[in-house]
Amino acid sequence: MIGRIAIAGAVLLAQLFFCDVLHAEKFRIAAKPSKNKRLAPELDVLRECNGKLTGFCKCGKPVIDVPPESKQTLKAMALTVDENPPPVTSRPMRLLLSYDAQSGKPAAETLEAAHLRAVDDYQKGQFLVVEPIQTVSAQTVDVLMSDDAVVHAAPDYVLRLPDSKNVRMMDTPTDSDTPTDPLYGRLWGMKNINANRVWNSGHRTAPNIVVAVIDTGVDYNHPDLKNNMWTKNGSHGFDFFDDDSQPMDEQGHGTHCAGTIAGEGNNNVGVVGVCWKAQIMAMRFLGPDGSGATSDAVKCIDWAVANGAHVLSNSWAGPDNSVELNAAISRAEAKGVLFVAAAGNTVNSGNNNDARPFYPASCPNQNIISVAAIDVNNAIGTFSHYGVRSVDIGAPGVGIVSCMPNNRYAELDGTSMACPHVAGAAALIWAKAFANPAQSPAQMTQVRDLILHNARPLSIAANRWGQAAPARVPGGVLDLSFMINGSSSPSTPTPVGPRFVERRAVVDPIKLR
Amino acid sequence: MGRTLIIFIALCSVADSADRATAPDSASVPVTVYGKLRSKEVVRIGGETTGTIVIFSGGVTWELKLTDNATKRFADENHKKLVAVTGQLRRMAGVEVGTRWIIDVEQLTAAKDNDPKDTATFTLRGKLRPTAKGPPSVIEIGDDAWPVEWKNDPALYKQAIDSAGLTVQAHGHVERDPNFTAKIPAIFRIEKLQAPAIANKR
Repeated sequence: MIGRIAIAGAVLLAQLFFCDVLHAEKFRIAAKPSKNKRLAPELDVLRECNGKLTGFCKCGKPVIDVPPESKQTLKAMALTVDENPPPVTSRPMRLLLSYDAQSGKPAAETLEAAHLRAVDDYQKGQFLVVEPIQTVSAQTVDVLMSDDAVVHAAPDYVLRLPDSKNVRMMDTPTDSDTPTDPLYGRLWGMKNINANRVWNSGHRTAPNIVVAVIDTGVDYNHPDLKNNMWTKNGSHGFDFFDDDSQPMDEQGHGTHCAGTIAGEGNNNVGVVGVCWKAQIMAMRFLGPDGSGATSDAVKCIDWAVANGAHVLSNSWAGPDNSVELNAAISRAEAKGVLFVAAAGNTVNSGNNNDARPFYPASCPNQNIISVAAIDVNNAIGTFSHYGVRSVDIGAPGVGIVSCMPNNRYAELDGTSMACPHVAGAAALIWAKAFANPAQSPAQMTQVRDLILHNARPLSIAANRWGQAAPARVPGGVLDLSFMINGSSSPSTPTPVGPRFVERRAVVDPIKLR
Repeated sequence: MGRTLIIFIALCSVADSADRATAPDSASVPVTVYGKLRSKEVVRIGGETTGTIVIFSGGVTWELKLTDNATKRFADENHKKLVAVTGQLRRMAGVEVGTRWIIDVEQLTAAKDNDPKDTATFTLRGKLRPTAKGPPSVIEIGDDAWPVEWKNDPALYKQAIDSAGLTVQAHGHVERDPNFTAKIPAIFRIEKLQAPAIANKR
């Protein structure tokens, strides 16, 4: 402990008090073994500069907690900076003291002895902001080092605006890179998840990835979808509602989801999906009124898995659990198929899925990503179900424009719209991460982990979702920016325990009689 | 029929907007449904379902809201069986499914041999909204508007026209709309009109 602080704390403190302006190449991320082996959840920007990794938190504070095990992931996330590194200055009178929540915060006596005064306690980032009361000396450092609760000491850097502006400007593609799809300007969700930045970096398609849309069917003749349909023996999937091989959408919901996943990009028509090209497998089991039977959903899952789907997009749910449904998802999990599920909607109030589960989103399988909805202002959808232990991530789900049958388009709300954002992202990531994509538990786990590991934290959602495995970021929302300029091959996935859904095993006693 | 349909769509749109902005539920209408129960395996887009439904009139599907354990137990034991449901029907704005039709169940029993088959009856108590021509096509229940159609009966037409603007009690049955959509799942066809206030009009 002392040694770590000696390296990180003393060097940084020395920099603080002997340099008025610190440049990026001097700001070096100090590696530190982390108990949970993950990046700081506040991570906002990370870039590789002159062979060194630098980064900043959402709050503008520098990233100082980067576990060395994640170096590969970090490189995948890093933006290459060709220009001169931006100047980074520090507030000369402030320090950041990182602490480990398990060990407790630095003692008041420590601060007093070091002649420091706490200004702020940023609990989410697990650090104190402190100000020196009097001149800082070597004794200050010694006192800090003597307190095991102090993990790091660092200057409180201040970002200069020019660099931030450059980063932000990348949110909007240049004209030449903007897709030609006329409704692109209304697809706020694509910008929110930074899909546009990923497209600009060249990652747009996943032609070998099959995404099954288990829903009301898909209008496979839609001009934005017809070239992206999975096809086998002239069929684009299967219809278990009518028991035939023509899964045409009579309702519109499944077509809308399909457009968000993989609406054809740059075709001068309508919208663009998260993935400009993927193979959409249309699986129909919901009828014209949008309802259906779990038994038919099970058939869809098994059929899609047997026919090569890598990702299953499930924008449907119900309040009753089913042994058969659990078993089907388990079979998909064993094959290495990712199961993305909408958390569910309840008008105005939402619902806590931890207390009152909705299935399949609340099923315990580890291949499930349960998705809540956010709006254009990064607020939680008023209807969106949530659950700190049973919902994993948020994604755009309010005012989502996408395809509807018969060459039409519509704007819809719902976690059903959030779910396909994640499913499309999974396809894009899968294609980039693996040269030979396959149904494989290892590949599926890595894709899942990349999505969850790199979620962008949303403070208002921190107590709403993402606090239990396999989720990694409390209140995290989908963000693809980590795919830019680097290999998306993740580090060895962190083992996680069984997906925990509180009260998931509770069965209504009347159903046992 | 076409005009009624257009008005129905317009009213539903207005009703939906109002539902979303203010109260989520419509007025309640007493109904009795004779149909097939599904109490298991029911899922819906966005999870917008109570998990129990009754299907009748060739495909009209209404959700059932069950409150007491005895009724839930009965429903569970009678999955996929013919039942008689008595309760209060209301419309509720959904997020993804447009309008949800939900019966707050008061009684749920097995269908008897002499029960009607595959249909639903209703009683609407409200004011017949006057129209410029023909019988009223809407019954107003408070601030809520319920589109209706009429049995092909000249005497009933005349009674309806005479009752425009009055508070009435209308009885009828529910049919599957041939132009079935999720928003307009059924037609409320009036067969009998009790208009105790007709005399008061004159």
